[in-house]
Amino acid sequence: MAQPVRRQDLRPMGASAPALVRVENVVKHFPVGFGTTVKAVDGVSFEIRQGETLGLVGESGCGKSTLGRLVAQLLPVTSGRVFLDDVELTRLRGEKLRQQRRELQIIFQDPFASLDPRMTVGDIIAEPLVNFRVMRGKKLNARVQELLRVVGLNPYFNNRYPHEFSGGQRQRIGIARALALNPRLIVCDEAISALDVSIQAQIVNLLEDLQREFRLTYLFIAHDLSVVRHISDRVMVMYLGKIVEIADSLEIYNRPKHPYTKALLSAIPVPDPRVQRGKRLIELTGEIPSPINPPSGCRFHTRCPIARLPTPCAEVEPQLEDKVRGHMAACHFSQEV
Amino acid sequence: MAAPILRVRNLRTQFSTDQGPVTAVDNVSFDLYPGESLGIVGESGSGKSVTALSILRLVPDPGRTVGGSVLFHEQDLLQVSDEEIREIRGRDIAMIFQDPQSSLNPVLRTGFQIDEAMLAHKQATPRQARTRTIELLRRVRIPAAETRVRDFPHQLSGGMRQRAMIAMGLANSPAILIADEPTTALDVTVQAQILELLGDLNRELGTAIIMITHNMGVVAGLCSRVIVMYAGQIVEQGPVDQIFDQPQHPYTWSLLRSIPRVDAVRHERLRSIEGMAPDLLHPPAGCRFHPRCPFRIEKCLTDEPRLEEIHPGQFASCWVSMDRARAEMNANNLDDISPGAASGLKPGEIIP
Repeated sequence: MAQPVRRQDLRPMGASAPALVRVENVVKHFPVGFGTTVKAVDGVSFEIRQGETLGLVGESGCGKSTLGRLVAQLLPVTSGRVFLDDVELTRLRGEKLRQQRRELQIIFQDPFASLDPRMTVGDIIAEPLVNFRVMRGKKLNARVQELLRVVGLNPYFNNRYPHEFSGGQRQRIGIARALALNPRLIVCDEAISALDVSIQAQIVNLLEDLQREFRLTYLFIAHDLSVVRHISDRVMVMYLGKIVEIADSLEIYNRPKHPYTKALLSAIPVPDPRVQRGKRLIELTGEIPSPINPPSGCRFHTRCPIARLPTPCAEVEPQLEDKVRGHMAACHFSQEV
Repeated sequence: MAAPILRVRNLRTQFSTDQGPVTAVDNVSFDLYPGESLGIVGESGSGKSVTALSILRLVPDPGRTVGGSVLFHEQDLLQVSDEEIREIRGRDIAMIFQDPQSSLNPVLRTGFQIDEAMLAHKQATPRQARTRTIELLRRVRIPAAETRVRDFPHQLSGGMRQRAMIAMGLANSPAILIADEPTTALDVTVQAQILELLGDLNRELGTAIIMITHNMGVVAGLCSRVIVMYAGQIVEQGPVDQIFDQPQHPYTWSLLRSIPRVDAVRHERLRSIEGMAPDLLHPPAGCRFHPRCPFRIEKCLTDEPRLEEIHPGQFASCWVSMDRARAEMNANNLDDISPGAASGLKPGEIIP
C-alpha cells in the first residue's frame, strides 16, 4: 500500500489551480403545494479547483445534498449556472448533457440501496462503460477486473451479487462504478457516513489514494466535520440553503470567521477526554428555521450568539466575501467571531 | 468505592439462525457503580446494544439470554418473574433508544406518554403526574414546557423528541439510565446539547448512566469509565483517561488511531484497521481480533485470552498487550500495521 503522505505533497497544483467547476448563483426551489416552495439552495456561488477536495458540511436540511446533485447534474437548477471548464452544463440538454455526465460521477451514502441487488458486481461496474459504448467483450471484462483491483477487491468477485458483500466492500463497488468512465469530478455524498469507524478509515484512505493516482477532484459532502476536515483541502459550510463560509481546512478550524462554523466546531466531540472536558460548547438556541420561510437578513440571526438586532443582522443579508487571503465568510461581524 | 449497583456476570445471549446459533454477547461481565457514567463502545455487531437489551430482558426473538446473571439489589434480573421485571423496567432501570421518532407513539400527546410512565408504576395520581411531567420537560430544557406537553410527537423536532424521551426515562427517578446511541440520529449541535444534558443529569440527580455508542468522542466527553467490545466480547475496560492515553488492547489502540480528529494540526494518513469484524457464526479460534492484529503471536491463534488487570482498574484481554507491544515491537513508530506486521507473524505463515 501507499506510504503515508502529507496533503501538501498530493497537490502540486496547490491553491492556484484553475477551476474545474464553477457554480454561479445557483438556486433550487422545490414546490410543496399552495404556491409555497422549499428554498433548498438559495443563491450560491463557488468553484471547485482542479485536483482539490472541497468539503461541504452542514446540518440536516441545509441543502448540501441538493447542492451536490445540482453540481452532478442529477437535478435541474431553478436558476443560476454551473460550468465544467468552460462548458455551461446548465444550458445543455439531451445527448450533449449526457456526454458531459461522463466527467461527473457520484458516490452515494447507502451502499445497500445504491447497488441493484439483481445485477452482478461485474455488471454494475460495467454498466457505465456499456451505456457509453466505451468498450465491450474481453476488453470490458479486463477493465472491470482492473477496477475491482484498483478499489482493493478481488478481481474474481465480478460474478458475485451485492448481498454477498459487507457495507465497506459495497462502498468500494460504488467507487469502482464511479471510476469506470475516468471522470474528472466525483461527488461523494455522505459516502462514508453509514460505515463503521474502522471501515471509514479504509475508505477515506482509498479515496485519497485514488485521487492521487487518477488526478480526481472531489466534492466531499458529509455532516461529520472531523472527516471532512481530514480529507478536504478547503471546507465550505452551508446553513439553510446558503454558503456561510469557505476556507482552507486548517484555517477554518483555527480561525473560523462565521459564528455558525464556530458553534459547529465546538459541538464536535473530540476523542480525547482532556480536550473534551476542557471544551466550551457554544450552544445554539432555538431550532433551525424552516427553509420554506427563511429569516430575513442573515438567515442565522435567529440563533446567532453575536447578532446585532434588528439592524443590520435581521435586515441586511451579508454577502459571502473574501475576509483574508481566500477565506470567505458571510457575516457582518466576522472580525468578532 | 461504594458497592456496585449492577453486577453483570458471564452474560451470554444467542440468536438462533438457520445456520446455527450466533453468540452476540459472549461471557460479558462488568460492574456499574452508583452515580457513575459508563460507556460501552464498539462497532456494529460488537454486541453492545444486545448487552443492554439483555440486562432488561428485552432481547427480541430469535434471541435468548442463555447464561449468566444480572444482579440488581441482590436479585438476579434474569431469574425474576415477568411481572417483577416489568416493574423494574422504567422504575429502577430506564432505557432510551437511538430513534426518538419510533420510540414515541405518534397518536398520543407527548405529555400523556410521560404521565403514563409514572401511572404504569402507580407512582403518582394523574394530576401529580402531569405536574411532574411539566417539571421534567423543563428539566430537560424544553422551552414553553406547559404548552409543549400537549404537543404530538410530530410537532417536536428530533432533538426535542429525544429530550422528551429522556424526560420519560427520568420520570420515576431510576437508579440507572441506559442510553443506546441516543444521539446517533441527531445533528452535531443537537448531539452536543443532549450530551451536556445527560452529563448534568448524571451529576445533579446521581443517576448512573450506561452510554452505548460507536463514537469515541461521545465517550470522552461524558463517561468516566469505558468498556470496549469486539465481536461479542469485552476486550478492554477501565477509566476513560487511561484507556485513551494508554490503551492496552490492540483493537482499542487501532480504533483510536483510525479516527480523524477535528483538532489535528496537520494531515496525516489514517491508520486503518485492515479487514473486517469476524462473522460470529464462525468466530476465529484464539483471540477474535488476531486476524486483524499487527501484534499477534502464535498463542493468539489458538488460545483465547481472558481479561486481566494490566494497570490498576484497567483490564484487557490480550496475550501481548500494548505495554509489551510498545516496548518490544516498536508500536509507537509503526508504519505498517497490517496483520502480523509488528510481530512478524504474517498471513502466509499462519498454519490453517
